[in-house]
Amino acid sequence: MTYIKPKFHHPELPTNRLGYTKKEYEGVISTLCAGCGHDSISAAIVQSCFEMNIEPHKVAKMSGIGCSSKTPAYFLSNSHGFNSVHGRMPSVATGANLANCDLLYLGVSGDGDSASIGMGQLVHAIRRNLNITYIVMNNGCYGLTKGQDSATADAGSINKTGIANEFNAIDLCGLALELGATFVARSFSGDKSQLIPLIKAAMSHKGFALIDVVSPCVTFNNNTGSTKSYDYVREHMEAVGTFDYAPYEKKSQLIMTAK
Amino acid sequence: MHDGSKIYLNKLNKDWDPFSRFSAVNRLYKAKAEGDILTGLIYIDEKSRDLHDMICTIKKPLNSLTEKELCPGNAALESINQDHR
Amino acid sequence: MVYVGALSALLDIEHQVLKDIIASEFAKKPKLIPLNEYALQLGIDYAKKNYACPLPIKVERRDLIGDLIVMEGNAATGLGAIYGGATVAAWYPITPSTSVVGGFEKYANKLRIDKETGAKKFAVVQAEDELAAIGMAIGANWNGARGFTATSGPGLSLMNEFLGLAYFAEIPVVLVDVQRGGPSTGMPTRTQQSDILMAAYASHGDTKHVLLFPCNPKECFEHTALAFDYADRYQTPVIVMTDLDLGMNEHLSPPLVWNDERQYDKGKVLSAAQLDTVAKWGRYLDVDGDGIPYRTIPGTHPSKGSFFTRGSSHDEFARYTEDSNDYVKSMDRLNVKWETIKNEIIEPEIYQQKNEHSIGIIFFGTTTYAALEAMDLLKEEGIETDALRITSFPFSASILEFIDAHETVFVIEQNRDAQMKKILTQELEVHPKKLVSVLNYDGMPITANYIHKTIEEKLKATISKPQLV
Repeated sequence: MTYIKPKFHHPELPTNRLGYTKKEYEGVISTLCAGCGHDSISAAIVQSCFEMNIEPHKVAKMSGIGCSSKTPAYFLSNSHGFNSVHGRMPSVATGANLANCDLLYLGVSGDGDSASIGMGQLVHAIRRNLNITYIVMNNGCYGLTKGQDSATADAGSINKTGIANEFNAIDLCGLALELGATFVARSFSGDKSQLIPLIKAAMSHKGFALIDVVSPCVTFNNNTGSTKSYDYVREHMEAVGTFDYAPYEKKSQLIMTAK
Repeated sequence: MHDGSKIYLNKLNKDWDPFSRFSAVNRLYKAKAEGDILTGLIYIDEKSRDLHDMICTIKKPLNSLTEKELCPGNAALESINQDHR
Repeated sequence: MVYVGALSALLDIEHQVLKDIIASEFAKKPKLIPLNEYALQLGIDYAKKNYACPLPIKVERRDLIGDLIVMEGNAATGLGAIYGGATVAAWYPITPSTSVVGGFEKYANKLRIDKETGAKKFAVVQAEDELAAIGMAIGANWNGARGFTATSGPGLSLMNEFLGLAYFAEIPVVLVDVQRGGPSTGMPTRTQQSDILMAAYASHGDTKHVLLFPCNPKECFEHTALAFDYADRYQTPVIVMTDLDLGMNEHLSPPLVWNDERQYDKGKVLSAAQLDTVAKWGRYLDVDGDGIPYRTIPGTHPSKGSFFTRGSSHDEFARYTEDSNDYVKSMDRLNVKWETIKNEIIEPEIYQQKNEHSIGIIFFGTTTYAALEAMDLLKEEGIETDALRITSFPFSASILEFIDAHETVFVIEQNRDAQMKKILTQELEVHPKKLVSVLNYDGMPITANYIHKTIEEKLKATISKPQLV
């Protein structure tokens, strides 16, 4: 398989209001497993930023450690990125945000990064209502270190090892609501029609916008018995509503005035 | 939303109010009890004030402030010295 | 107040001085002033009536203070951060460092408020723990603002991981360590200089950090302001090492001075225009041969200058790699940078024009004034010494020259395991036997008498014992 992206593109690719095609919002080719939910989320981020007419260099991509945290390489090549140490992205993002309130902060994390080692920092970033779009790519396992259960794995859920998880799951949306988060959403990597408007709305929101995206791990947690597999999620998903997002038309909109 | 953009919500349940935290929590628990994974925009506070609002920082990015705006100068320092004599 | 009045009559303390103190103390409650003056006078009258006033011991005015000030080290440190251009302070409360950011915030609320809007030209965030505090400071610096945190030993332990990231990914950050009695929770209200080894080499792997050692409030101010320039120039953590004695006590100090012509050294940061002139920019490319690459701040250029900052091994273009050659090249360049730093940062203070004696004394931080006084006590007994005060790490070549110029060198420090001696031995490749430790670690500030007595005893022991070469 080639890892080199073709530079050539169709001359009539659609452009947004900045004159950019979607290519200007892409990153390098993903090295994640084929079929990984995280790649769909990356594609949704690219689409959202393209459609929102965001200037890529005005986005700061913040992530921790894990498969999820690798994804910022796969979108927005012209944005600066920071892979911090495991579970500590919220503090770095807070400092970065304090330094420059005019950039758009996109935090990408996983369930290990956010619900275990990073739990404390996530809680306090919500408490302070840090202005960030915080996407958790939630697959119920530690993909990068070969599939251990994470803290969001449901009790009774069985991963590839065949052993059921004994412990209660942390529900990031429930926790966020309890902590006073001002934007709480959940989605599924397999449902871009829901995910894209949510990402757009999150990026427009002034404050901490959590999107907990169930994003199946095809290698370690997509088997029968897992509550985070493609099949299980499709069968048990219940949407609160259909949802559409319309950006503000006037030029004074935040993203259009970015320098 | 604070920047003038709009979210169009078409609620699928009449017992859920996305602007009510109480309603959102209940809806979430109800879905869990029924073995469902609730998705979508569960809750939003449109009047949200972020960290910068709360700590009253200047609207300009802090990383754009110049030395003139940041450094109080020797005269101010001499006044502080005087307070410590 | 009656007691004070009586004492003033016995010791002949100037009456007007006491009246002025009463006036200033009760300035906000002026009704209390006449009452207190009256109480003072009652004491004076009683003492004069019943005792022979003044006593043979009395207080006499002197004018040796001059323009010296009395200030806490922590307040001076906080001021240094203001003058050094810090805009982001993230911290977690811990004795004895709390008043560093307290001082920063107090002065910032007076000196850094936008006149038009009343908004703050700074941000202070009380983090949830020390890991978050240093993370925020690093995030701020990564994004082009000067950020810092202040802590003590236990906090520095927690910050190790992030310090390693800042070292390897080359992100500026300033950290103030107000040392206290360790190890572990140790003695939170006692002083020590026992974080030196940890600060110098914080984090796993091969790391080393720039340290500054102020000895009085003036240096707390100057070194802290300088730390921000150093952090930006060398793209690395800079740790200002004070301690509880200096930080939380008021000390006499020369007044604080700022040169209004001085400009901040923001180091090698490329603007959009500069990026347009560079053929191929690499975040970790050593263009100038000094080991310091050029960095870019997020949001600068629409299509150039973006890169990933991460703690994993990287090539010159910030691309992830575990290739041996790339890794070694990267680590060796950090050593080149270290040599550059060594040649450029502040020099030690050397107290004599020429080394004239066979005994040298090395000290730093709060051992300074006790050491200088001890040298006077030794001199009275005919033992003359030369002195050098360490002000920074990496060590200047002049420290090795000083050690080589003396037969015996005493290293005075306040910890049990002679941490500074260990680093000197290691970094300067000095024979350990040449450096003789004078150690105080009971949590109280070291005294001149203790240094004097210890040096005398060790000198006697040296004379009576055959030297092992």
